[in-house]
Amino acid sequence: MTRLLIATACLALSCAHTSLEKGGAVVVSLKKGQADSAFEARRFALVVGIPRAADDRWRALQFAAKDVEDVSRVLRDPLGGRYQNVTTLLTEAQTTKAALLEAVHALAAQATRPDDIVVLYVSAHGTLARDGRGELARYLVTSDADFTHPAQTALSIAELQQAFATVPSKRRVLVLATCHSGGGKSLLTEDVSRELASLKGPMRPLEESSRAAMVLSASDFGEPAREDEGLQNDVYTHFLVEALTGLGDRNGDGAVMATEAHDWARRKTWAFSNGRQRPSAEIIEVGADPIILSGSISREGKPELFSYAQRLDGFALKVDGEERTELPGGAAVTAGRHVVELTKGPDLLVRQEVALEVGQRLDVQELVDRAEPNVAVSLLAGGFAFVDQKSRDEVLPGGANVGASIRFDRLFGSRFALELDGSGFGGGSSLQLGGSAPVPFTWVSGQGGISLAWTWRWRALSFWAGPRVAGLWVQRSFSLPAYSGQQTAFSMMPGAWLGGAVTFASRWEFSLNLQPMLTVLTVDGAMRPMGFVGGWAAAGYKF
Amino acid sequence: MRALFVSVAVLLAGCGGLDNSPLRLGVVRGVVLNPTVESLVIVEQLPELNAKPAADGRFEIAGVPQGDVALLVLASGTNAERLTVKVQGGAVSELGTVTPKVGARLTVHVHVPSNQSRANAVVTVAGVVIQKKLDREGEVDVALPSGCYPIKVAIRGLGAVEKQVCVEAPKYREVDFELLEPDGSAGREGCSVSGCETGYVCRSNGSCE
Repeated sequence: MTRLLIATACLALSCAHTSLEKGGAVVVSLKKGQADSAFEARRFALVVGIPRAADDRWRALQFAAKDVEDVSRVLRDPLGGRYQNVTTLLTEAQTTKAALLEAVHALAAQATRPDDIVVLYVSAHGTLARDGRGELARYLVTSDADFTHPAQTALSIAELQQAFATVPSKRRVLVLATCHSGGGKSLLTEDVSRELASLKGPMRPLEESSRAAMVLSASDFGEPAREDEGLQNDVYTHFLVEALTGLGDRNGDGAVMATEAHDWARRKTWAFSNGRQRPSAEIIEVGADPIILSGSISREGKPELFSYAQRLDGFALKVDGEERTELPGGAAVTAGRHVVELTKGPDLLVRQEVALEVGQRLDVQELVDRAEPNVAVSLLAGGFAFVDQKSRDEVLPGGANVGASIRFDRLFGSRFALELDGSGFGGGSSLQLGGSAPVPFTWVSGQGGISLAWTWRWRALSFWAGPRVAGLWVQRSFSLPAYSGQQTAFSMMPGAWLGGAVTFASRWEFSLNLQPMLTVLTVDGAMRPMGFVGGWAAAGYKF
Repeated sequence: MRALFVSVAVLLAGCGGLDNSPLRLGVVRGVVLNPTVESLVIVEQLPELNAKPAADGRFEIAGVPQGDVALLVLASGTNAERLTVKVQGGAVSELGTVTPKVGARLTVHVHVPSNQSRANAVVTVAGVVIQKKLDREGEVDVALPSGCYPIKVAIRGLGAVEKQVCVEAPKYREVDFELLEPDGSAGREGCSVSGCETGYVCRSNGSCE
């Protein structure tokens, strides 16, 4: 960078006039450290603690103020976080809903460069309430929140995320040291408590995605986040601060990334709470442009294996036979060849030998994708029909079809699937031509299609959607007292392919597919555009 | 944009086609009791659909549109019947034996100028040319069911006259059709085109003497 600056300065000087005319280059004296800092990413933090709300039915938080103090201290530390701009909000006036949103917008006005690193930390009560659409939503208990009307007076997490997403920086992290379960740092209204009590099974965060780059939560949805007398902090915050002191630098590159810090705090919180508090992360963008929370990258780090994919939650990551961490999370290993395994109990999901280089970060999801069978051959049975009644009456009533398909998963990257299918059937039916008795006939039809789909996977479930084009061949045969003959038509159909599958016994799958299509058939000498829907259930084997 | 739409439609339309029109047409079959050579069965609104019964009276009309259609059965010089038939698409409607009642008797009397020939007169009833020829007096008898019919008489060289004639069974009615020499050059040819009645000679001025 310095060389580039010098070269640029020399080039500018060679073109410059020696007079004092406007527009001439100015020679400046710049030390290396100054030049580096000029181009180093700026770091901004807004650290918020809301120890008490005006409504005293939310009991005061003992350590919210200390959380703010500890987090801002470690972020400001010149040897740690190196955050030049740390703003703390703690007083009642600073932590109203309006004041908080105003502070976030002020942050957006400051952190205008895409490479600015922006942290928004909140230690407060959380609660759940029905929002304006009647859906259960998470709320942050601001100082002016009313216990009986949280949806109207508290700040919804969704609204906070939206405001945070207006920050122009692409390196943002929102840390929520709150909870929304009714235990620990939360308190719910009676009706919501009753509703939660009636729910069974684990619940996932309602906001499945966020426009913020990362959302780190001290607890998963439905679990309590706690303060601890011994730690004198919110538990998650305590370990987050611990990570930022440098302990969280998993790969030893000199910097503590947001994911590293969260993994450290998550693991420690989980252990400290004996599994009662499980911090979660909603990570939308993690890539080659990581969010540094502390320190700076001073050397190439050790290779890392990681995954934050939901479908791998709870899997143990083993390296060379030794369990290194439980996913989501990551582990640093030495450079070289390693045998990587993902297991859950006695089940082995994947086992692969990989060669890792210094500084490399490998998402183990890729190993799973590579190892998983990616070709599915299925037998299918279903039906088809024209969308409009007129076509069903006059062209062909709905009919059954059977066939086969072959689907290639991860053909053009992990998200794409290509499917080829062929099906056909025949039978007897009758046309309703208006003003006369039904006209009996027999029919044979065939379809062949090719589909390209974007796929989503979650555990054993897959869903897909994408464009499809198919050929439709129809033959009608009439043997009537007044008319006998065969009529044949062929048409191409553009449309879409929607579907989903559940995989069982690792290689078998059952899928449901739907194809809304558009076709144009020549009927009675005129081209007739028609909507066409096909659907089938399929049982397949993956290899 | 329209061209693009048409191109896409043609591309998608592929080939072949499905045609329902044959499925909307039916066949009418029956037997006319005591037919004559003059017997005729006509689909009233579509006179191009007609049939002349065979010697045993059987007739068949194909391509009849589905729905209720009216059939005129002109059985003989005295008997005629109008039948309403429900035609099914793709099906054959069997009428069985048709026994026409006594119809209205219509005498069509054709008048021509200056003894020109009426031998080539063509009489059309309800859109169908009847086979019966005019007699020496220039008359032809037709039996029709009650109703109103377009009757047309045409003679080559003398043009045509058409009248809407209403009859009521079993009454008798006589209608005169007077064909005049048309104006213009063709008219001056007169009998050179139409010919003359027996015993008359066509003169160069176009009249029969």
